[in-house]
Amino acid sequence: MEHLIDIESISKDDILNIINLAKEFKQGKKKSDVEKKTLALMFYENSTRTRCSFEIAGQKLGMSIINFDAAHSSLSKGESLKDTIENLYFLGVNAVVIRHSLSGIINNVIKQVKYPIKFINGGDGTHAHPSQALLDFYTMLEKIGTVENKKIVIVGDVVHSRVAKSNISLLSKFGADIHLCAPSYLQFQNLEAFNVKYHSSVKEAIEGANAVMVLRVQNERHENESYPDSKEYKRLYEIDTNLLKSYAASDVILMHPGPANRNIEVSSELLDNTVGKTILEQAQNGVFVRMAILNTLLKQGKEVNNAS
Amino acid sequence: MLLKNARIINPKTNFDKISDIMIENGIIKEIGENIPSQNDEVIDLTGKIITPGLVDIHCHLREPGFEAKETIKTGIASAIAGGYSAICPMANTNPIVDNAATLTYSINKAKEISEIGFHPICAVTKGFGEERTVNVSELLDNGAIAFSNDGKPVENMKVLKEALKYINSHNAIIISHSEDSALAQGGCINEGKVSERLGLKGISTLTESSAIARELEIVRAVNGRYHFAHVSTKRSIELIRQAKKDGLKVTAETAPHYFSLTEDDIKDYDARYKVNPPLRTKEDLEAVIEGLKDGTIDCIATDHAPHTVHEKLLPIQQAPMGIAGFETALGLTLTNLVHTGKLPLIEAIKKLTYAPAEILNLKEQGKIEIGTNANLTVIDLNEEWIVDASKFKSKCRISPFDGYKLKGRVKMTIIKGKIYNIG
Repeated sequence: MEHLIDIESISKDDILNIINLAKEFKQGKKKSDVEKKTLALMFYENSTRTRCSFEIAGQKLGMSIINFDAAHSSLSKGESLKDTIENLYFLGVNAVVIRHSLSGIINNVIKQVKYPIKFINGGDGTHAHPSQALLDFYTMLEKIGTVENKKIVIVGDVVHSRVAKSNISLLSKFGADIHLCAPSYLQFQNLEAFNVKYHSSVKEAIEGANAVMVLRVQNERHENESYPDSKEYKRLYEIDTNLLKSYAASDVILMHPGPANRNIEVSSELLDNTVGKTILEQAQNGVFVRMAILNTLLKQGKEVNNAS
Repeated sequence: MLLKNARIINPKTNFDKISDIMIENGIIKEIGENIPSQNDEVIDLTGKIITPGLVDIHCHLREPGFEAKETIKTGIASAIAGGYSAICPMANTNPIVDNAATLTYSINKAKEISEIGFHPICAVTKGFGEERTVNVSELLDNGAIAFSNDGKPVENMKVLKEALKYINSHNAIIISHSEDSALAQGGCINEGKVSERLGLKGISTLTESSAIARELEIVRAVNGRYHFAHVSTKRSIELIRQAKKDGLKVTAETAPHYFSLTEDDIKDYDARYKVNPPLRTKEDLEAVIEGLKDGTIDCIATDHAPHTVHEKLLPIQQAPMGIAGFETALGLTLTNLVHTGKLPLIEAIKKLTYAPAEILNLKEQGKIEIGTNANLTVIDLNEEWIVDASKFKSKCRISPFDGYKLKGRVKMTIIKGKIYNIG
């Protein structure tokens, strides 16, 4: 595994190696192989969880972290992403985590950067969010043992969700029974793109579910769209205690990539009870999974001194 | 000058025979077998094909205004390298060709460079707006060949209706860039499984076909003469097929990329494949070939749309739309339509020569006829070659076909008897 751009481009073994390494980090059995390496966080879109998670993961590994201030960088002066990254490489940066609003931005820039810097996708447009899918997988394995033949339901703003896409890709590799549930205006427009089952009724979707992954309604991406507002969404799709109890498996787990819109896609009451705690554990697992990603990508590299 | 022993293909008369052609002062003097040489320069073309010079009724030369992408000079050089003896550049330059001064500027510029048939297509409306029609008679008198806002649709149907009536009354036609801009939603590739997986905004087939459906109603109402540019979808072709059956005076073109590539070829957010209309599905590609076969699609145009290499390397959402078309059009047509047995050679040549010349009524183009200008293309039907975009005469030295192996190549372009050796 050279980079982490999307789930499609890594193997099942790559995924399992990361999961196992994350487990060792979580159990305190594994020491960092990447101390003194330098990581730059390049976030061109807002993020709390992913950014903090990578930062803490890097710190725990003894790395130096540069929080690249995208809003005030030379990109705002018109410098291309390629030039910025090549400069960072010559400053001694070994890996970059990029979050960006354009799908495929890393696929584009990686072809142009001539130096061996490692790329990690921190979420690009509506394309992929591979570290999120990996931490979701880790959490599911921890909670329900396996995903094979388990009914995993993704509910919500599917069409705008890179999280959903990376999860579909990962869960497909491991034989999960994947269901997507959304109103027509938030569902994928080309259903043949993914080999999953589609639902518009939430009750039908979560019937017997082993895991329910709720997606955030991304109101900021709904501007200039012809959708009904979130009140209409809440009436039909809000996940609450009653709904889970009535339809899902008794040991169902609730997941959310965060940040949640309370009382829109998921009830406040559910978030704050024991079922909702899994969501916090997801965030915690994210740190260990990202430690595993950084350690895996950077351990073979030579000592820092890129410019020489 | 005597061209000897070539297989002459003249679609206008269904002529396909090994013969000689005698050219004198740039004019075809004689066509026949064993023409005796009288101290002429003799060129032996045994094993080669001579067709009418290729005619492109849809290209973009970018000058004035976007000279970094292409100039009239590099555009003409690229066209000649592709075997073209006539080209019809679109009006979306800066300034837009909606006035006689800009039109005259480009015609004079072209004249300094070559005697290639240079027939600009002028805007339908002033500034490509949704209000005034251009001064049609003045533009026609100054060398305009047709009218199109290509690059942008005319979406106000009242404006289109009035413009069509007026332009037709001057025996000229409108060439339509059919697109519903609201449905196009600023997308960058075909809306379908590929755009969904890549997380890219898509341009649905409905974007094109719904605009064609609406425009056909206008054409029907005014009994107009109308041409559809770059047709790319199955449904568009069905609509045009029915319109022709109903007796509407419509014609249509497609471009080589629509019968050569599909959305499945777009790998890794590569903006070289970004073009408008976008590359569609396999089903659409097959419908395009079917449309070429049954005559629903009358001709093949390049839609040569050059951009700088730098622009085509931008993230796919930001990169401009367009593929450099001149230098690969014939090779793609022969490789993907003729050598595959989908279209007889003479039919394919017709769609590159006689058919487009007829649509725009280009008198000295698209045929091999005694007494007319010697505008000819010499082709090696079986030569295999690898596309190398870095060697293009066009400034756009980037192409989705870079590295493609093609069968069939231009050897010479002859314009008014002047020989340009290619390949």
